[in-house]
Amino acid sequence: MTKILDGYKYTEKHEWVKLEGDSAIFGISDFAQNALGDIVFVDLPKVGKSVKKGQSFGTIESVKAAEDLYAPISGEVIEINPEIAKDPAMVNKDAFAAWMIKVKVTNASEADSLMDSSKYKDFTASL
Amino acid sequence: MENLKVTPLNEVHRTLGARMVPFGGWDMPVQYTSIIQEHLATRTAAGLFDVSHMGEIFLTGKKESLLAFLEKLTCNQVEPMHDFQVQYNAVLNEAGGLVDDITIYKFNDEKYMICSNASNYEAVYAHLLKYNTDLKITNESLNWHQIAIQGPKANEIFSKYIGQDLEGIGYYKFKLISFKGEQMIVSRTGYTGEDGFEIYSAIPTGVQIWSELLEFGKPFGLVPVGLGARDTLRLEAKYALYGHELNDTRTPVESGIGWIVKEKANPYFAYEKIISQKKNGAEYGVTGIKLTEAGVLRENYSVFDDAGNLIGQTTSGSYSPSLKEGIGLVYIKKSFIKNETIVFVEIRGAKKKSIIQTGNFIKGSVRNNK
Repeated sequence: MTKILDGYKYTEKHEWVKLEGDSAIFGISDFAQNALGDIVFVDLPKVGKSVKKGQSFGTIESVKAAEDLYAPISGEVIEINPEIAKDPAMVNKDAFAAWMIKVKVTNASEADSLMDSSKYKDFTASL
Repeated sequence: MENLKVTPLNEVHRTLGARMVPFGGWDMPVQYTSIIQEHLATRTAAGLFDVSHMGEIFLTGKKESLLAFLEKLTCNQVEPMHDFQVQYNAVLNEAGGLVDDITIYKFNDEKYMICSNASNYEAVYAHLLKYNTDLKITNESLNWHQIAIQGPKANEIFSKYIGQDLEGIGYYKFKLISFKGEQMIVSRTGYTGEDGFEIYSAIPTGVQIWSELLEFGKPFGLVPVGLGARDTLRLEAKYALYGHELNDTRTPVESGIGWIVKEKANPYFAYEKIISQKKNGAEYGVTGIKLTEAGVLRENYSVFDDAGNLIGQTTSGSYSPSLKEGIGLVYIKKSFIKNETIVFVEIRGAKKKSIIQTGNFIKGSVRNNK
């Protein structure tokens, strides 16, 4: 069963964002990790880099395929999760715990247009 | 949606929870649980593969004309083959490119079988018919069921299951075995780098064997394996794949399978060119490559020397579940095919240091290692 948590916002490309004050963390959904299969490498940007809503901020690779990661909202990277590089498979184990980058949010209202958990549930059910 | 062909096990795969994907016109399982788990199970115990999409073409006729025909259309030497021997070979087109890479099964002087890739067997069949004069050539691909059991425990599991000792079947040999009132072709071949068998049977028997064998082999660690792990297993074993290393424009020498190119009295297509490449080397060849940092190699990545000159292109690439690093095969200028040569692979704009590996990536249980 695909896990979809409340309190997160979701993109149609299956990333999630969680707002925490003026910062936010990004990851991919449980639906996405399941579709990708065994995740073996995640290529993330460096601290200080700007990411823009809807644009690629990195790449995630499973055994079979490489996929772009798209930023749910814009911001400046202030932290990357160091555990991801050591154990990319943690994304398969718990896609919500496996946050990838933390950004300083430029414009929090960009999250308004994203799906909440119930809309994302309907969206994944329609795929 | 294109019309995909299905193997007789299609429903069984779905029941097992497989994720199905289109492959060469067929609806095939890419994975049942996880590519890495299925891969490692095959390396340490055994895996069961549905390979019914492969083609079986039978050739019968008089000894001399059969031999002359096979020698003309393929680059390996068929003449020295014994009865019940299997041979890796390639059917060449008029320019010396590959129509397909194949295995040839010799039943006797007057009967051979060609096992061909799923996406190519119709082209192989058409090519054979084009040059046929007096042989009987039949494409029986849809009448045959084929499964493969591969892994260090494959022999033990399959021998115990059918109640016969199969140890006597040597590497690249086959035996006709009566089982469930029918005759099966059991050959000690595979595409994983592990010991094991490829089993050809009638369809209902094959379907029955698949389910029984899976159940029987479970305590030994046997699992069903999809095309995802089939690809990572063959890549670690450095086996060429049609459409990647092999295609209709490159000769066998340029594709990394020059070891099957033989001199013959009865020459095949582009004979002079191919033999000269074998003797003097071709401009390009295929070899192994490994990333020296975290990441994954994929097909069609450009490869450069340290001066920044383009020297080749990856033909296959993946994450190696056994080595836990990025590995691949590369079509590259011959002067760089030297073990441990440092080259640079461009991945999303960044050049990643990689190393040429001419030897094996892994040492599996396959019998030619012994």
